[in-house]
Amino acid sequence: MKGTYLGEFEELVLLTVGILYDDAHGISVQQELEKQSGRKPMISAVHKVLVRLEDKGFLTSELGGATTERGGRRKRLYEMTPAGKKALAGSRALRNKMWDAIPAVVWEGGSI
Amino acid sequence: MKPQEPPKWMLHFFQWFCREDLYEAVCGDLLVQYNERAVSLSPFRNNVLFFLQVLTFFQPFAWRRLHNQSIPNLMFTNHLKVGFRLIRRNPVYATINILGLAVGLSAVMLIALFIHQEFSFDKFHSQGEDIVRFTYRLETPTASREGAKLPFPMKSVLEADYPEVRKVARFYYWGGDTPLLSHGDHKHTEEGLYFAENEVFQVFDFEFLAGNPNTALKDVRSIILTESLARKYFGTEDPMGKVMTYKNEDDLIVTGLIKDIPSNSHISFDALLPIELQRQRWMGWGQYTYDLEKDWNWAGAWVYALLNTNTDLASFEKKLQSVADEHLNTEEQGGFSIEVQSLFDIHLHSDKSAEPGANGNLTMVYAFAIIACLILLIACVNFINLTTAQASQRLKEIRMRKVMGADRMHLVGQFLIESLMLVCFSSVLAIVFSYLILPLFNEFMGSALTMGTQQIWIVVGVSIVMFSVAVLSGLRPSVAIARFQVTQQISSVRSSGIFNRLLIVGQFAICNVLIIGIFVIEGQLDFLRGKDLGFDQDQMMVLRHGRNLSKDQFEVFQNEISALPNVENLHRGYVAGTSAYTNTFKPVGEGQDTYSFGIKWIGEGFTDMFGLVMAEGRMINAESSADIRQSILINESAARSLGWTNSESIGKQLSFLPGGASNPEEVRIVGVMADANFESLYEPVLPSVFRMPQSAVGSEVSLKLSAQGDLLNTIRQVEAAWDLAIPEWPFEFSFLDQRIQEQYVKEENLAGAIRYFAMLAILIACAGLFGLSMFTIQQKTKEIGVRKVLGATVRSIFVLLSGRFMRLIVISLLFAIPMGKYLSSNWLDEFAYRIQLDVMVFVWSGLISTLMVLVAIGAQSIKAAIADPVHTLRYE
Repeated sequence: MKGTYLGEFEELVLLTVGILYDDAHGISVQQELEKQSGRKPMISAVHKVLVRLEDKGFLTSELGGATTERGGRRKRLYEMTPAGKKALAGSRALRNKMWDAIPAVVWEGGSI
Repeated sequence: MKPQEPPKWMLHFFQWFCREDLYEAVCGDLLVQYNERAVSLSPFRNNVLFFLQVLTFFQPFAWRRLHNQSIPNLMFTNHLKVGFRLIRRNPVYATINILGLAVGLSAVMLIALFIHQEFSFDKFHSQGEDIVRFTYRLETPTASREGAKLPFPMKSVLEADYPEVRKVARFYYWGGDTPLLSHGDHKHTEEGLYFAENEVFQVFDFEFLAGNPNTALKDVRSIILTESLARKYFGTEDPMGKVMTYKNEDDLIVTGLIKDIPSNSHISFDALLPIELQRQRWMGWGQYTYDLEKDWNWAGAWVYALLNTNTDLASFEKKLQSVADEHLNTEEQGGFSIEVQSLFDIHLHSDKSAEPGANGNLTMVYAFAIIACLILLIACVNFINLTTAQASQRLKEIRMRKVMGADRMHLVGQFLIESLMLVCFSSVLAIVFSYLILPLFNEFMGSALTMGTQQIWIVVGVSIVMFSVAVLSGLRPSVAIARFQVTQQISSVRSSGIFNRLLIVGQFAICNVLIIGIFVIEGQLDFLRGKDLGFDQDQMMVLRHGRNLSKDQFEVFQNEISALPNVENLHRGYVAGTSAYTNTFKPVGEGQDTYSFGIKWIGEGFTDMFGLVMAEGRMINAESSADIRQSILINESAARSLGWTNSESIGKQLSFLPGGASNPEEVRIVGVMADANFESLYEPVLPSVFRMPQSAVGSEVSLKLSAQGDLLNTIRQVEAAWDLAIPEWPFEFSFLDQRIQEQYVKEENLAGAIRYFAMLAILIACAGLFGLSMFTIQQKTKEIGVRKVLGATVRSIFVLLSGRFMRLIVISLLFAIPMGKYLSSNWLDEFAYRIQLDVMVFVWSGLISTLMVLVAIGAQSIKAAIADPVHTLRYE
């Protein structure tokens, strides 16, 4: 199994899938990412990360919801797995721990 | 409404490489975006965007998988790896193949650029299809002449009587003129000042940077500059509206600025002045009656016209015969006709007298094209032979692949990928080479070729041709190898099949023809260079502005010069070895035949000056004005064409018809001059008449300097004399031998270029043979060992190894010699003075090619022959 390390963009995509809950597929993820972070990744980059996250076991997917504007093709809807939730939680916990470790004086802008 | 769909093939392509489980979802996503864009974008742009998006998915994560490996991966990585290993294991083979192909390809690319340039002449004129030039042809029983210029009044006739003519535009320029142009301190002698009229800009597309194309040349005192000429006089200043002085006399106002004339224009100039200016100058601004617009006797203008679209040139030309009959043909002289020439035909198909510039040479273009093809052919033969030879060494590998289940298609694919790999390297190298060599090539050919974005299609085109050639040449060995059965013996696949041997024979037949060609070209050019023209051309100084010396100024100059010890002679009149003018003559009382002879206005002491010999009779007496008026000299060629011997000619009378005038002058022949070739060695000696003008003013001035003495000092002294006599004109000069040499520069350079490309072809062929012999010898290592053990000598083995190739070379000679003989005599026939084909040429070229082959294969063979059998027969 590939490493469970979560890259920055991977983390964003994973969070987006969580936000979208039951309608997370390529385009909606791309649009939500743009709405949240202001940057618009290429559609291929989004799919690449989705595939990788699925390989890592953080996401699971199923096909559904064909429409005419999709040329009769179904969407691949992604959903977070427990491992994905755990990875996100772990990532957040790590960050919190490290935040707390920063001395207060850093934020107050004092000099040494 | 049914949603719009991208082209099917894009979807198929996507489906071909994309994972099945991903395809449906991703494709759906792309289609949603596609439909969103369809509102704002044209279908074409939308499709392009869609395809680019599809391409962004061509990444490993989306590739279709096969046995846990994606297909492209599986194929490419292994084949590329094996390919690279082969190159590493056999660097000599790879170098010969890649370098040979690259050098050949870059030669082909340069030649393609050159040929493209030659065929692109004048194509930048947007109305070029409908532009024609009018020329004349003179055809009489005794004379035949074609000229690019026609009399000025052609324009009014064309405009008045021919509805198919929309616009007429004329250019005028006289090469012998040396106009001085000045502005403030800037004073230069200009070569490229042409006269034209406003219609020029309605017919041709010369790009204006400033000024109004409709009126720029309307005013008689206007001048239009090209960018580079403007920079020369005005630097970064705006030249518009500034005043320039022409020939120290007329002030002109700059009314237009145009881009420099492209290098692929048959007519090229630095500035345009109104024809009206020249007309007025010759009329003395109203003092005299001579009007060039009414002169039908002087063919001085290049006449172009814009015709109605789809005018039938042949019937138009027929209608023009009436113009020729009315204005050109007289009772004394008939046979003129006016011809119509399409603008695009001028550069490569026209070689008339008084062309505006040196035109291209279609034969040379074809010669280059043929050489390019031959180089390509030779490089491909190398490629085929070496790949086949090399493949026969890889039988173990191939067998292994077959046993592991590779079928024929796999093996063919593998070989193709390997040869494509080599071609890719070669193509990249070739482009680099071409870029590096291009400046050198330009300098040599006197061309201005560029390899920029506009020419990128040539690079791409040649690469595509090369690519397909490489695929074809890679296909041959790969099919042969792939067909071979696992159980077959190794020996049954050989590099020396009859096909490959034929290729070698063909290759060397080509090489031998090229060697013969080099010999013949070299010999002929040597011959021309060393050919005695029949007059002195050494130490002869021609003054550029000599024509401007007035009678008094010339006397001052002459006095000063006569005091100089190192100036042997001074002559005012025709300078031998320069351009020729012809005129019409008729022997008095000997029928109606007229003759077109060259006319040379000579000065006193012409024969002494140029070391010419009188074959019969005497020189014209310059002291007697009656003699000057009545007497002429002719040369031996003229006597011959008149059907007289030298002595018969003396005392005969000719009537002199200046351009068909109605009152002919009768002149008497007093002397016959020995033939000398004053024009070009490509032509036979022009039958000529020599006459002295009433007044020498306006003639060229030349000086013969002493071979002894300090040349630089002498020139300085002459300059001092000049400055004393005529300070307002600059002292500029050229040497006659250089001027004559310049006539041959273009031909020599072209021939020289062909020579270098031929050598290149031979070199590539030899490199190929070197590689091939290396392989055969490697294959025979064991055989040689066994032979040596059994008592064979080094010599016998050497003969055995090189003999195979030598036989092929001899066979190739059998084809090459008749071919070379045919082609060279064809080429030589273009010259009036030519060498005879010598048997030794063929012997030498045979020897040289044999020698080169021996060098190419000799070292290998000797190495193999002297190798110790202990090493070669060792069983590992």
